[in-house]
Amino acid sequence: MNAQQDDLYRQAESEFAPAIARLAQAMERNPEKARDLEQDIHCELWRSFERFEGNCALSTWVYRVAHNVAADHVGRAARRPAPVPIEDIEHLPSNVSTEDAAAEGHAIERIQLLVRTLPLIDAQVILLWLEGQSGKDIAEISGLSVNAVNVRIHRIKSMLADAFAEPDRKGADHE
Amino acid sequence: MSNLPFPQWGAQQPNASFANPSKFQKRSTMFERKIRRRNMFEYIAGLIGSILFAWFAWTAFAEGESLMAASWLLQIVGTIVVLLNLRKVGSNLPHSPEQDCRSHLRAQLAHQHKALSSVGRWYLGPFIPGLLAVFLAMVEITARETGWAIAFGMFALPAFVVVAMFVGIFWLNKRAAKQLAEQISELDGLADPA
Repeated sequence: MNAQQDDLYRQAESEFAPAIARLAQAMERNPEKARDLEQDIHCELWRSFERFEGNCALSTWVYRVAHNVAADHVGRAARRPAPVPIEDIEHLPSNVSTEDAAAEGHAIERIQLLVRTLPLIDAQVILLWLEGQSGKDIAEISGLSVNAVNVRIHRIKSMLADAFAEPDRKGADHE
Repeated sequence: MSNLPFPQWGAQQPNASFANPSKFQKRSTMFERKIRRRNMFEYIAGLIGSILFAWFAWTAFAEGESLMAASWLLQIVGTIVVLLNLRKVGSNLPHSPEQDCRSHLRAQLAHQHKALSSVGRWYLGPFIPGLLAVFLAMVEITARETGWAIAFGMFALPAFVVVAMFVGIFWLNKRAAKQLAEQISELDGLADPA
């Protein structure tokens, strides 16, 4: 372990540990596997910092590693149902009644359900947006064009607006 | 958390922390464990197949059927070639999870596409000489008593079943490769035009 690797790891922990825990939970429904995925991301981040030369922002590096490790995990899940592109989804999916769906816990559950329904690249954009990343940053992390990112952000905003009536408007600033 | 577009989202896992790096020296990721299991399974399957073929070859040789013995040896060669090919085709890509997500996903899909679209060459092909030789040896042994026409007739159905199985495997892999090619093309369409 070199000092820089350790410093970067600690810096990443202080800034991104909750976001990585949320990513793992959103991508993996099984809590035990989600915890394993989270630790795999920590492990891969730590290993990757040996190669970090500061060519991009730390956040870009961390989110790329985290999402790619999660994508590899999801890609190997043998029984994952066929994904549905975001443009084909009208409303935020729900397993519960409309009344219950308004409750806060269910809001998170419904977003996680949506994430697990979408193709990987769409899910990654949505999760990055939920973490407060700007359209430009998401484009850099995901490798998608800014336009493709904005289309996806627009879709998720409409879905959240439909599902929860008054979603936080601050998201508009992130485009 | 105040600048998050959906604050409930950011309120989850506020106390999350990273695992201690000292654990990582010995830790294998789920991915690494899975690859290790897959490799082990392949080698065991190859070993069991080779032992069976060797036993068939030995039995045939003991009965003085050298063509049949050679056919089973050819099957062992085919199995070894497939295992070597599997090592090459099925190996993992250079590990660089820090590339952008689209490129990472595209590389994985392209890797799978290459393996599936060339399945005839690296997986099915090496078994064909051995299988052909086994069939011919069986026909030759039978023909000594029944004549060639009847012997060929007797083995036509089993041969057809094996050929159909190979064609089926080939077709399913080609179909999966085509679906991957479509996904790759969709991903390419999402990137900034070069």
